[in-house]
Amino acid sequence: MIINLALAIVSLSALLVSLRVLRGPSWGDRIMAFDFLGMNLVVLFALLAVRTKLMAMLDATVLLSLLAFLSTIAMTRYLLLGRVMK
Amino acid sequence: MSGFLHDFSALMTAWDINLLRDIPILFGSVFVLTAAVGVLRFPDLYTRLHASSKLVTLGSAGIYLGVAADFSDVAAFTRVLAVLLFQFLTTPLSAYLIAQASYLRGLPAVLHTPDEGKADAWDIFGAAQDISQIRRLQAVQEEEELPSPHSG
Repeated sequence: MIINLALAIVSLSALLVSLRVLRGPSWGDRIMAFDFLGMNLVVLFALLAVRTKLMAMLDATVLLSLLAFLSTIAMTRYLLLGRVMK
Repeated sequence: MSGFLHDFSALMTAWDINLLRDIPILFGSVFVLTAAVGVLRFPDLYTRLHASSKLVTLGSAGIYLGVAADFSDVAAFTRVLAVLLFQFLTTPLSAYLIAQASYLRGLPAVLHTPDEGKADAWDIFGAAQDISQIRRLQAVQEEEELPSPHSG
């Protein structure tokens, strides 16, 4: 089944990007790598929705993409301004 | 000929192959892997952002299209379309914000000046360059250029 191969490829890419999280010389690299990991998690949930034939997984993808975007915005604001909100 | 077609369709049902689902999913997952390799190997934060934002957008779009083709349901299709549009809107925005914050915080780009024969010395296309090493070299150069407070 192709879905298993796609799951393996996306998990391998998540492992490679987690190396960048560990190594990243600056804070921007780590934030970018966490953003990448969030999008990777959304893709993994979509593939799992195909594999388990559950549509609730697709609702989880909507929520996870929202959470990944909001956390990236919060971390960039903290990097730039030193605070998240006023 | 009909026997070959029959064998082919039997093989597709045996391995659970659905071409409308599997071709976009393979396309997208290969692009996601390419984005991960680019994030790991590019020399600079800004080039890594290029790899991460563009390639992940394309790859995840392919994977979502494959998922929608597999479900072939209106409810699933609307959810997948919502995620796809949301990621098309927010991925460039987050990449722009990361680049803006890093630039305003003073992170230097590797290629911030025109190439004066330094590309071979830095081995840009050979191995990834550590930004912290470059910054340390720049700090040493600035210390050498500034006059020492105890000399005069």
